[in-house]
Amino acid sequence: MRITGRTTRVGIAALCLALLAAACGGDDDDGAGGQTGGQQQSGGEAKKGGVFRIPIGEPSAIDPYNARESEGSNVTVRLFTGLVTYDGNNELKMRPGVAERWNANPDCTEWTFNLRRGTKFHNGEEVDANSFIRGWTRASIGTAASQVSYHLAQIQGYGPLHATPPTAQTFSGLSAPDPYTLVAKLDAGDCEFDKQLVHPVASPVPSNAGDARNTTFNEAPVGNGPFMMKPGTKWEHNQRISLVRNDNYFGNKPNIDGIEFVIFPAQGRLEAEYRAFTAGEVDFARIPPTLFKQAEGTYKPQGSFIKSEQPGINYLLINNAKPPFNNVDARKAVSMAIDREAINQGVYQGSLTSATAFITPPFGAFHQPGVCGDWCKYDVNKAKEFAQRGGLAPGTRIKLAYNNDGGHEPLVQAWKEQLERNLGLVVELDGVPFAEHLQKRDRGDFDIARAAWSTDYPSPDGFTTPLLSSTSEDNDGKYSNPEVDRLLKLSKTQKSDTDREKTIEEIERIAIGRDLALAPTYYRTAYRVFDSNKWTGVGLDFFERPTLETASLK
Amino acid sequence: MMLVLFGASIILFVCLFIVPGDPIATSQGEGRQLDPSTRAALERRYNLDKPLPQQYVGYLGRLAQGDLGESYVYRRSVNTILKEKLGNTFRLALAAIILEIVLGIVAGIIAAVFRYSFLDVLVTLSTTFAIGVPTLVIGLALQNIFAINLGWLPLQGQSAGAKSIILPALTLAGVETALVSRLMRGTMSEVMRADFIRTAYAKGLSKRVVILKHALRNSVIPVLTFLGISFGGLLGGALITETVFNWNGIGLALVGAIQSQDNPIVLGVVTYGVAVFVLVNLVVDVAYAFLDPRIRLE
Repeated sequence: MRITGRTTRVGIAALCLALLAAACGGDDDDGAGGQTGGQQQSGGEAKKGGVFRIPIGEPSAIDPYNARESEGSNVTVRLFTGLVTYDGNNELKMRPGVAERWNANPDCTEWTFNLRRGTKFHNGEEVDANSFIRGWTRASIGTAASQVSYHLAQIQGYGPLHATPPTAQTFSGLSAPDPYTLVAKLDAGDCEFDKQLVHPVASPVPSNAGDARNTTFNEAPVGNGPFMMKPGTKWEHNQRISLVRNDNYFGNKPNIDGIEFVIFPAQGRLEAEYRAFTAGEVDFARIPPTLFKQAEGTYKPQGSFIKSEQPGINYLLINNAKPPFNNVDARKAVSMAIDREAINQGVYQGSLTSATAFITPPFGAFHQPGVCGDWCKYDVNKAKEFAQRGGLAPGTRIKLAYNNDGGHEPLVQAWKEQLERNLGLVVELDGVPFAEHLQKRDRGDFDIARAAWSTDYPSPDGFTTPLLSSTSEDNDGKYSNPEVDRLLKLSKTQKSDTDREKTIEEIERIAIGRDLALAPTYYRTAYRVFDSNKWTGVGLDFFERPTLETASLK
Repeated sequence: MMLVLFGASIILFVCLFIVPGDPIATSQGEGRQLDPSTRAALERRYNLDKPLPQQYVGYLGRLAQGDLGESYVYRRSVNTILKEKLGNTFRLALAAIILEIVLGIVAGIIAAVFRYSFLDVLVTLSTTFAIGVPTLVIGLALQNIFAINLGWLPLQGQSAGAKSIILPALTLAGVETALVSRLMRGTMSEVMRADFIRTAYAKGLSKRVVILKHALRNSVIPVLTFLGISFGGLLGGALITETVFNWNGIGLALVGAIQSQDNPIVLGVVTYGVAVFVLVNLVVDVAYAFLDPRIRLE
């Protein structure tokens, strides 16, 4: 998931690290990324009405052209519905949105989407294939400088369109043979292209959207989604955004009358949200790590406590490009020398789930528990053995990099202490603010680093390609294995889910099970509280957003 | 005054660019590396591809026209962003300064007039407390008592009308009120021992007239200087109070902008803060002359 406080991977993942966990035996077990507290009622019987108040930080944008962090996307996805949607099913299959059905040619280089007829924007204008072409072009053109349009980069013509200055004004690979058919030609075959389109950047926009710098649309986007901006209002910066139900929505109409996004300042936001929740000023909140046990104790018995496994992974990033960790045994030694469970209990109050795989549980059949094998288990003797084999002698100096604005001090201190005690290493902690930390990683200025990753579309490819492909810019560990690169490319061309599953499993067995390119530490689990005295049907979806489309008054 | 502004702006500008970190990358947020094309577009848009002196000249040029540029993170005009918030900061500053004046001066007078009495001790103790306890703690404590436990006042934000400003104003005014009252007590005590006060009493003037007309007028001048500086500072934005109470002022904007390296907003707020501070001090200097004829004659 692309979040940026927002839908940014690491930053929010950092804050939520303490919320990560899936303690064994929790009574609120959930499937792939969805969990509800309280009874879930189907649309027909649910009570209608009510305004759901939810706290967010100030979004950087809610206009789909640039909505990029979870705060902004949380608003945008209520206002817009794209071609496809995802309901959290275990098979990671996309469901119809505006597109009724779609298919790809045999090598997945050409995709055809057949749209429903008669669906409308909130201003009454009809949604057709051109609405999508318009929206995608608006976001991708170079002058928009969109930081999320890369989701559409596979479509032919993206390069010239996105250049600065643009050398084209349209996608050469997009066409609408008739108003309800959209054809997308890709540069290279991708059998999961439809999954990329779940991102808000792929929303349709009406003809009055103008270009990306149209501030009217930036402040009050007109979409086609289950909710719309409350008439006469726009984004009240740093205060609130008010939405009301779209009674002409083509899909399942929400039960609630509206949503009020209450905006909190970034500083101490978790604490402020939680305090506001306890004071009854909002209906939903995140939980500050330090108050986790208290929140669980107070709210779980009431049924107000949500625990949800999310498609994110926390891991120890290891620099494969230079000594000492260019040696696989050295990498394994370090991973076995850290005690994940002890840290979980001591630092995170047991709220985390220690990882035994890289591809996490929400990915259904793609998740292979235990694929990390011995390397993810705490074993000091074995660690020493592998350290010796791998040339990781006691006294070796290594740099442990992390961002010092995410509350990770206890974690990295624990790692340092364990590595020094168990392997005799000399660990230098290097903590800097987040942006600088990313640059250091990019330059390879680290030996090991605290890292986290999430994906914003329902495919394990959201993990594997960015972090394991030798040509990926996000692969800071610089893991490079031609066999894995080949398998990654292969997986994109495999139409059959079973075939792709086998390929991804093979990739994980090699990259993690055999090579330990990086050391998974904890799965991402999100915790929230909500007012279960008033509401029901509230959970978290795959994208870590509250399920407001199913929520209703009790 | 112009020299101060000019100097401050240069220092500020240079500082922002010395600070490590990449504002463009930071605006991207975590995760994905920015692709070269988008980066080029953003650098061009914000003149970051030009040498520093040229950027500074461009900045000055825009500043002369009152244009503070565009926020890197929100892509909205800094003028618009700050204008939305200026009114809120002003209201809060006004509420706080009124509290400071009323509570501070009254407490100071009482303490001075009833020196060494129980009231004086009460004032001294409570002001020590107010000065010693950090603003953050005062704010959170007030929130806990009045918003969470008693529920009399709103927890944060400005949506509850007049009730919203009470806790933030108290928090903001806390320390300064204490300082004002101590200052007032000090100067007033001194003045009360002067010869002309004894003369006034000897003339048969009532205690009320002596204190409120003669003593007060003479002892309030240093307090006024202090209040002037205080107000100037308040107008510059109260970072902690605004953050605790989610008060949509420029202090809150500044804190957020620093964290996200949104330099145009940082520049805008601080430049404004310096300008206001300098202006308010000028006003205080002028007011001085009116209150103290001796200064006028110099």
